Amino acid sequence: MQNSNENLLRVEELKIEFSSSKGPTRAVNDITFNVSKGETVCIVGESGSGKSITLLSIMKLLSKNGEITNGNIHFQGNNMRNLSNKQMRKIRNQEISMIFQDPMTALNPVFTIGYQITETILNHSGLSKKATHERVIELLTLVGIPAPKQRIKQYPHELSGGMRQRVMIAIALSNNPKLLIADEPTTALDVTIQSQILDLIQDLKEKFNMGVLFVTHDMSVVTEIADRILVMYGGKIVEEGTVEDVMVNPKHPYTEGLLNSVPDINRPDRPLEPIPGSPPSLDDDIPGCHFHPRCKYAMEECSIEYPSTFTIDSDHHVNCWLQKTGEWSHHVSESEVLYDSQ
Amino acid sequence: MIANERPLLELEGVKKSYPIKRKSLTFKKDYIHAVNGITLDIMARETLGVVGESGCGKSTLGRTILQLETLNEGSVKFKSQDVSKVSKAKKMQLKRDMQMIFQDPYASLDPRQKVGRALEEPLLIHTKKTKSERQTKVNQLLKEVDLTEEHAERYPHQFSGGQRQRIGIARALALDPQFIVCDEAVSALDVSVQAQVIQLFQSLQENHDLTYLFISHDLSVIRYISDRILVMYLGNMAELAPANVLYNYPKHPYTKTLLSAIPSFTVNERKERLKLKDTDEKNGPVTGCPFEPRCPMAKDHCKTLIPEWREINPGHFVACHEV
Amino acid sequence: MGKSHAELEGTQIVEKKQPRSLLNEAIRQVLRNRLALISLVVILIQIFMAIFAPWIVAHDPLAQNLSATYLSPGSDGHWLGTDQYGRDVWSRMAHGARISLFVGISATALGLIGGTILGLTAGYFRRLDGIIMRILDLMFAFPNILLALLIVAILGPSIVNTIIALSIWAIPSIARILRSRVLTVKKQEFITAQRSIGASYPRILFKHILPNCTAPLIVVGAMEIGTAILATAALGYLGLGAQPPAPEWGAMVSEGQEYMFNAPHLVLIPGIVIMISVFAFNLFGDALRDALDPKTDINK
Repeated sequence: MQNSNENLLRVEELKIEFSSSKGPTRAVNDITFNVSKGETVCIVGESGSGKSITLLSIMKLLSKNGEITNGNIHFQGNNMRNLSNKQMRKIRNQEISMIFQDPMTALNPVFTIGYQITETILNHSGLSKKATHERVIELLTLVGIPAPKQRIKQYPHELSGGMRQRVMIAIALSNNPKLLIADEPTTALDVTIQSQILDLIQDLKEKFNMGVLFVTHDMSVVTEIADRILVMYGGKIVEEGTVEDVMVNPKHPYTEGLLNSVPDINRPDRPLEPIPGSPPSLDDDIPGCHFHPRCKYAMEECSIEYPSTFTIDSDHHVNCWLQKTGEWSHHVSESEVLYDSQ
Repeated sequence: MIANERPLLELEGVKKSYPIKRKSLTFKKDYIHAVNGITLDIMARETLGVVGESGCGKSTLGRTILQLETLNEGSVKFKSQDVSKVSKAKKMQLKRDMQMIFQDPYASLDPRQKVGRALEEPLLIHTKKTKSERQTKVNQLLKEVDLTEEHAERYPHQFSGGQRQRIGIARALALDPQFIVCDEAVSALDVSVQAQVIQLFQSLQENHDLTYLFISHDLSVIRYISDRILVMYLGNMAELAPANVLYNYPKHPYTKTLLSAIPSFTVNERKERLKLKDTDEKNGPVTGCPFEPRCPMAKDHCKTLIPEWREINPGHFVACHEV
Repeated sequence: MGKSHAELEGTQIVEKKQPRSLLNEAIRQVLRNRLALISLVVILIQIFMAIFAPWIVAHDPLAQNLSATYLSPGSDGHWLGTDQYGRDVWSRMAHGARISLFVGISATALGLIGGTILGLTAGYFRRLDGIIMRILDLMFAFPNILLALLIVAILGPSIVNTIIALSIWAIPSIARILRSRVLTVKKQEFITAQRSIGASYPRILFKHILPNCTAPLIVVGAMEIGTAILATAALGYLGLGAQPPAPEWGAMVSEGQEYMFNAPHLVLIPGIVIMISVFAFNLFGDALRDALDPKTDINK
């Protein structure tokens, strides 16, 4: 574990419930994790795993029917659950910034991008108008937007998707946040632009020693950018570890299943092994381990009790009964012929 | 592929353009060329993958083949018949032979229609089957996509995304088609479900001798499922080759850029990436290579000469001066 | 894999979601909303009054009794009092509900039919869109009450002509709402899917587009009934609707205003009832919109 001084964000035993006409449903169930300075933590999961809701709760942006019922969120040692909305507004975008999946809708179409960036800076700092203007141009240059002086006069619809996502990142970075939260920021983008945005986030992270909390469902993106990985399923973290631990030596059948169900570009001959069934929705009440109905290794106890946490390595934890016996090791299928890169 | 077999589909210089509104009062219309001259053959029982960035015209190409869009120039021949010049009766037969599977399993089913009814509909339109015959067919279709008979009585909103996509596939299969356009058919699905549907596509292809035009922006999925792959750039053909050849020996600079952008499955290693030039002009120059404004390898003559579509190796076509 | 995909997903679904129709769900939602429930009760009372008017009142609404004129509410045998000719106000109100509801509902029904035809055509067939919408714009530009007056003036004042005038009044707004809905539904992928399996235009239009437009039609229908009741009263007030001595709410206000100072109930009672009735329909329409929207929203 990291030294507690380096801990930027610590989420402890967090539970989030949503009230609906059918009664409360638990979206996030008892999750604990850290993000340190200069570290990229990736939350991997499918729809309904609670990954996006976790992010929103950190930003205190949960919709009205969602509520944190248990646990704490510490940011730089302060408990954020005690903060008023006013204090929270200050922290948002100044200390913690968030970028969203869809750059098309996250910008206001009636204002120029220059105005929108200026606005976030003015909201949070006492800079003069001229200094602000220079800062805007600096930010746009930083995120790799060519000819920033002309761009600031443009409206969102005049920019391509990748450019808009860069603008979003510029806005997110405008006040030098300590933590950047990204909710599938590249899913809506083309692959060439995705790679640029990923590289950009990595560069900026190194430059400013930011913590990055990154949510995605794309295993290849995770491998590329993550330092540590949290695998979420059914509102719980089922496996946690460094990228090497989780990707090379997955210990949870779900993680293994995810890896085996994506085509690997480097090993095209490897057959896919899909996980049967589909991810549970929030109102499914599954006893025991949430994954057991889809798990090919499911044992009797899996449907009775939720597995306790087993420590594989100092940083590698997994919630699966298979670890109790220690019989199971991973089965990531290998192709016969490895891709011969040129 | 058997060389002397006649292709199932022959595309000849297919062009589709849309008028875009102009601000001026001159009533002169500008056109955006969504598909700008596609010529290729699709053999029976093969999967032809089409990749490209959003807006490269890959979806429009699929829709044009199915005549959901009328083409402006060129021709599409299905089993040597020009699809736009057939009689009305033949046209209905073509609609049976060529089907489409859509990206969004939520939007491609009528929310007010029970699943059984949705699957029955193509049979009602095209066949004279009796009610019980239709019922049997619907049940058979459901079984084929790994659903059960009870599912027929439910509404689309009662299914998960993966199940809905299976229903979409069952509907496309109802009329025993030979050719199916899959337009981003797995892109909207969860990762674990995506693999199920990909496998379903593969087993259906074997059981029904299907031919797929598989459109996707996901380069890993395309590689996995396709026999041959076409790379499109702004409505133009950039490169066409068998899957393994294309990924191992890409020739067109655009293909190379795309491939270098794929996140590798290798831990903590950043790939050396080819960078595209930024440009405001999305439509490219009219005179030269359409990729020239963004091409990292562009030379002077690329600005003026349209590159020829050449076969550099058997089955490997590319449109670039520098190859 | 052990379990087949179908088995696994099938059982999951059976357990968690009972098939329930959209209408059922909408009704449940409306019943949960207190204001909507009250408005529904008011509407039902009105309908009850209209249907059973002859049986729930003691007096003939037209019977004059000149020995008992201007009785105030609460008088013996006339709990809402009597008017200038000694006619029982309660029985006139109850019979008036018949006229109001009959005109309101039939005008709305006719308006819905006309509006649906025009809206569907304009929304689906691009070529007719321009013409139809310009005609509707023209109708919009014409003050509604003036249009109704004109029609009634040409056809002559009567209840049937009121219905015709009010249905024409209702057409433009219904058609416009439906058209915009059709434009949205038409772009949905399931319509393209229908085209790709070779479905004919009528099939697409009536089997797929129209059923997906029912929610806004129901909502606008409920609201239009309220508007039509108000308009009936307005025409009645102007003497162009139901003709005296027919007990029509608007006409009652108009007749009563002469005696406003010595017998204010002659104006107040029909006036308040008109207000409550229209308010109830509008509230109910609003509640229906809230109830129908989330479930039927195909963009969800």
